[in-house]
Amino acid sequence: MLLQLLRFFKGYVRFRAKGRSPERFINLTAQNGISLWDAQPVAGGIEACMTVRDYRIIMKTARRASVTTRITKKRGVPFLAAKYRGRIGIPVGAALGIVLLIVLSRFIWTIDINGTENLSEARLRTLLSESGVKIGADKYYIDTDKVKRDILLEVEELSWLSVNIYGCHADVEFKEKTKKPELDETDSPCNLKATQDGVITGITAGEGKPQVKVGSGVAKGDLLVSGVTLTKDNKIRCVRARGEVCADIISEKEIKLPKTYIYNSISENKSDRFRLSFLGAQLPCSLSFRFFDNEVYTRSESFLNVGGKALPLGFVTETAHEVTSVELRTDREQARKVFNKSLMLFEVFEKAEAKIVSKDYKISETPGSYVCEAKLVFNENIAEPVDFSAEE
Amino acid sequence: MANNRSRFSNSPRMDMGFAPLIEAVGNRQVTVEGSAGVLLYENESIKLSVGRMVIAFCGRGLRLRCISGSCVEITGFISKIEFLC
Repeated sequence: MLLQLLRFFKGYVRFRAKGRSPERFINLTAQNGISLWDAQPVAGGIEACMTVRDYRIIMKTARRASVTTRITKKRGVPFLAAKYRGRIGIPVGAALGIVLLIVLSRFIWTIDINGTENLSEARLRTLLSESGVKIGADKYYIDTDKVKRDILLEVEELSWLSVNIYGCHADVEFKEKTKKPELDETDSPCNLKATQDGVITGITAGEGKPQVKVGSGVAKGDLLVSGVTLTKDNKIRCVRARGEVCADIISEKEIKLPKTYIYNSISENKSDRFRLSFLGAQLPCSLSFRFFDNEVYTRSESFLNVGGKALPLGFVTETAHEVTSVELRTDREQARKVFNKSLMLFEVFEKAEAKIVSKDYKISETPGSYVCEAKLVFNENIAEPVDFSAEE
Repeated sequence: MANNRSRFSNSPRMDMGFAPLIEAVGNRQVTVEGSAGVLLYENESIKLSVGRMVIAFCGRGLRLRCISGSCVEITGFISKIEFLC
């Protein structure tokens, strides 16, 4: 294969030698150090291959052997070069292609991140980018050891990482730390204390001695279920108090809503700007002279995908949408709806585990706003395990 | 001393110093080192001059694959090799 490639680059001819003594011709060429290959007997002579350079000097040998030679095929780079000699674009294009290939092979084209389970890939990509491992980075300037050190110092959750650069592709392998198991402290003795002020509505004690009764009021921090109990022999026994103590809790909330407000909305006026993105660099492809006083942007990217890998070549479209601002006035009915929704969100998100017992609110007006004063009663578990203090 | 000389002159290495080296791969390929020239080149027969003798290769589709100063490589279906002294 290598020999064939070498012969192709040097250029060779297949020729036919006819005459009285083709064998003598073979011997003379061999004696003169000229290599022949693929020699084949044909009627009245032989056919063989020889490099162009050797063919130019065998004329004398052919005359001595009384044979005449005729080229039947020409192969190789010198013949191709001669064929396209007048077309300067081809060699220039080929040279530019080779230069482009050499230059572009210096850069990172794709990055793969493997091994992340809990860590955000976007965060790791940002960290890698800050350390120099990004699309379009010159791979010869990437210090993989420094990248490793920097990222391991930055991200505590990582135990190991490896940056491997294969050609124009960077493969980054991560290994996260194994989480420390939580210690089981469920056996240590403790009391149950109130987390909020409220009126007790129900007690379900598993272990320990209840210190409150249904209907009694408690303040935050009061003892609900004691972990100190007495045995039949009147001996003190410390246990881990368990149970649920439900209480009605009053929650007061004040919400304000201005009577007038600025409402921003996106109008139908928009302006698109296209950019060609290549190896992280962006080249504007369209001109847009339409600007708005207030605008928001949306950005979409579409990259060339080859074999499941996105190459850093594609289009970025940036669309500017005009934002119009209108001053709106809120009436009492609208304010009531807004307050209702706010209270509903409060119930759902801030008191997710509590049951609502009653909800009462009144809306008042001030010169510039509506004010909602809400009084909500929730029923929820207020018991919280608290370890024994030194005094206890 | 005389004894040593007689021992060397009788050794096979001294006698075969100019003999050709023939290497065959089955009956499909033969390489001859020490060839002095091709005497006959046909599809069914190739004769090589190797110093004091001639080696004839008979067969079918015989070809000289490569020829250099003193080495010849023959390929094809070789049915007979003759040493003509």
